[in-house]
Amino acid sequence: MPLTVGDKAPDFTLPSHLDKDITLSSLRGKTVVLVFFPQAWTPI
Amino acid sequence: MKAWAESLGGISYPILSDFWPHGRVAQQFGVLRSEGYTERAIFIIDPDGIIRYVDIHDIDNQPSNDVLFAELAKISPEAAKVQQQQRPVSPGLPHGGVVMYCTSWCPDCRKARAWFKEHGIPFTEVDIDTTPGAADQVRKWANGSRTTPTFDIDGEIIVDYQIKRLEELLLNKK
Repeated sequence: MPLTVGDKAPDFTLPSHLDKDITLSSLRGKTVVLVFFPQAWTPI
Repeated sequence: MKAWAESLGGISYPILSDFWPHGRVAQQFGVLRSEGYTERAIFIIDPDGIIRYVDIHDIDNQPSNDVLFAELAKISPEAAKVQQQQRPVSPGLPHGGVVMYCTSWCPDCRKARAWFKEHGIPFTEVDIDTTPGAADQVRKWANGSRTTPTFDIDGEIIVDYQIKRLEELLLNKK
């Protein structure tokens, strides 16, 4: 089941294309738009 | 991943790889499908780390940016300001009347050309593959994507082949 409005977003750290890891909790204080975007722009 | 992002032409936000362990973050958010890939999903997370908006949609049915900007504005008026910024045309690109940013190969550009012809509407074409600065201009309007066709109709920007908006703007004028 997808998370819903009001849930706490689970923290994660993932590698990014900007050569550094991004940790969600380090963005506290900012609004974050997190998009899962499979199969776009790829040759797959 | 970096090479791939560059091949898309420079993207201003970080692209993350949810690859190892495979799809773990998607799983935590509940959007990993049993087929092994994720839903198309958008989460807006507020400054306290609480989810404030969830959208899960079909691959062909993404919500409009207007909806997302409205959601962002609810959380922080600052976040929605980008939308209101004036986006003037870069020097060197045509402006005035109907300008269509397109490519020689995109199917919707072909449809748009036919539609303009059918209605006798004159237009200027800018091929974003061959015109310097044109692809960057489209990205500014289309939130980072090279969306074609994109139209500049006397300053009104229409991203993508939105026939209804074209009709509103161009057919009702007559």
